Amino acid sequence: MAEIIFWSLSAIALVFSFVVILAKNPVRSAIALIAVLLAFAGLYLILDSEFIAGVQILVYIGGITVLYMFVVSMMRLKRINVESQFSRQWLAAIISAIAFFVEVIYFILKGKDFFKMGMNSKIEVANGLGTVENVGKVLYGKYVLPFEIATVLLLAAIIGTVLLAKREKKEME
Amino acid sequence: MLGDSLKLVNNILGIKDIAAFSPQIQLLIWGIAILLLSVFVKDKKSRMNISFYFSLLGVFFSGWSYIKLLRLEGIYDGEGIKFFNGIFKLDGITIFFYGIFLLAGLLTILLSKRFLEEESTFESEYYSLLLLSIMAMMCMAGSNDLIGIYISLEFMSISIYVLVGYLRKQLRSTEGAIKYFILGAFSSGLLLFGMSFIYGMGGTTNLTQLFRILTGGKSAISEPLLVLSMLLILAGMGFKVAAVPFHMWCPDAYEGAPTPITAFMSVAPKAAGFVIFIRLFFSLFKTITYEYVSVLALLSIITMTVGNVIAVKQTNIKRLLAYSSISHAGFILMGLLARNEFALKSIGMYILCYLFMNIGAFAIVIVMRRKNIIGEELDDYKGLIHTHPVMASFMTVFLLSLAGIPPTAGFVAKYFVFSTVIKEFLKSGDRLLLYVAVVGAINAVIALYYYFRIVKRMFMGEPTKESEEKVAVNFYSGLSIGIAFFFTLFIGVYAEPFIRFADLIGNSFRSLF
Repeated sequence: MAEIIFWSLSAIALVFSFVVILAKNPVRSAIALIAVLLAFAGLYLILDSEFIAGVQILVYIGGITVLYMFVVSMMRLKRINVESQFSRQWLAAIISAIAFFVEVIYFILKGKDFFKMGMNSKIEVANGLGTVENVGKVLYGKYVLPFEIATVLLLAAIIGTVLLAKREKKEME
Repeated sequence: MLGDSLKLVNNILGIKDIAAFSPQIQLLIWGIAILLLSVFVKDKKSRMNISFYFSLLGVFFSGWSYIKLLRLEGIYDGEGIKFFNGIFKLDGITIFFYGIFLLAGLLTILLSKRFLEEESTFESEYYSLLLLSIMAMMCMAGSNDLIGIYISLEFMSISIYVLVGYLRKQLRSTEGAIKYFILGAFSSGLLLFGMSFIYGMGGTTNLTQLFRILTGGKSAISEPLLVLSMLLILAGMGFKVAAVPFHMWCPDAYEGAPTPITAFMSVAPKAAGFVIFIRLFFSLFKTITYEYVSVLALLSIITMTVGNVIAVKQTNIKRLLAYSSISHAGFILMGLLARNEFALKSIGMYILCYLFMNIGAFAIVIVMRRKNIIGEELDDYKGLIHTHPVMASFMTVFLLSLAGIPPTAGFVAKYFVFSTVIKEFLKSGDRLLLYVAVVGAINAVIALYYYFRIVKRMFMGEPTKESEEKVAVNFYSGLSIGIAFFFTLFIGVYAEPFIRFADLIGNSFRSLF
């Protein structure tokens, strides 16, 4: 069962990834991107990481893709439609993409001994590691300080955005 | 259930933890108070003054909590004290850099008032973000955890990006901010990539535990992966301290930023970057020697040389000082070559001296700025000795110090860094270290040339009509220049107390592990 879901989600992600780069209409690309991200959220769910799945939907679909849509709708669409969606460097891009792909495959197959990862971690994947409850406990427990710093970081980011974007009022004499 | 939760809260947030964090909390409170001011004080002029005093108060109270922390027992010996489940650590290094950040913040705030009046642009966010960025650097200095380091690094960077683009009506300010932002985001990616490899090998983000796992001599640690992550982190941090292949943002950001911010970011974020260098490279990558020394030696050589050689050609004084600050980063990197107590001390000493002399030089640039004359071109300094003799002689001292001429702080700084490298060379016999020292010495000569281009203009040039206009130095910028000037000379003449202050960081060498 899990396997069927895995393969079908992967297929969805792959197909829609192609739509993202091939679609002429940027709105269509953005919608296809949502489908890709949703499929990934499903894959995370299979891995028992419900938290990451939720964050994926909230942040990527709810935030980032909507941002894309804003940008797309603010630009003049007609001009973009005329332009080709491939840049002049497409040949080099394809070659380097294939090279990278081969590299990744090679390392997945052969790199096990060369790059030993995770061999020393004593932490075993406990049941329900990725649940919202456990993530919350870690976030508000062990990592409470970085969490709090992150809140101030967001404050600084908001202050900065307001500062850079707000309209100039009357100048001081 | 409720009892459990209360116990959990008590475990994670003891009053002791919050007390250890009080310098940062003070800055945060005053930073927010400055923002709230704009609700209550409508008049722009008085708001400008009140925010200025509030930010001074913020630094003052933060410094007060900092002095109280100094007396905390157990900071200076061995491991230091850990807070927040080992994520935050108070040791000599943290304490030393707290002092650096607070001093840099204080001098910058003092300089800002006149600059903002002259530019006739003021938003309360300026001081607020300045305080928040100091807070972020303090969090960075004490972080003993990869996540803590990363989050506070981002916090610091975001505050500084915005401050660089503060003069949003000027094209070059916006340009500098965007360049800094894009390259900074890219470098954070590299840094995070390297950190994720470390996490993958060690299975934890805590530096103390990671050190035990990574240097425990277990065969399971793959050397290539460790080297790879070291290089990625080196590249990521190289951006933050503007070491040479990663320095492209630096001149534009320095030129575009409001000059007090340029002074600030040429010192404080750089120092914060070097804390991360110390925390990661002195401990986690201790086992990698050959790659570390060769890569860092190369980085240091090209940083010094490129920074200096390009600086020779500059005609804008802010750009010139930007390139000079790049070359100074190269000198500090020299101190990182040997990973021992003395090296730590020499880095601390260099940053301490660099703080005063660099902010001092920028302070003169700020003061020289007048309404109808920008004061950023080298030619604006022609004949300064005739028109403003005090400013000219102060500037000369700062430039002499930056060049490393004896009775000034710069000499002490360079002395320590060079002797670190030479000592390490005598110990290990690695020729590369000798080359680094030789290149460093050559660079000191090149630096002397372009610093003296300014001095020559000031003393030999004929003043132009515009530059004869009086400079109105207000009390606060005068105070700032005075502090910088005093310490630049004082460290040069009698360095003993400052060396003892730098001993704080040298002595907590053991707390890195």
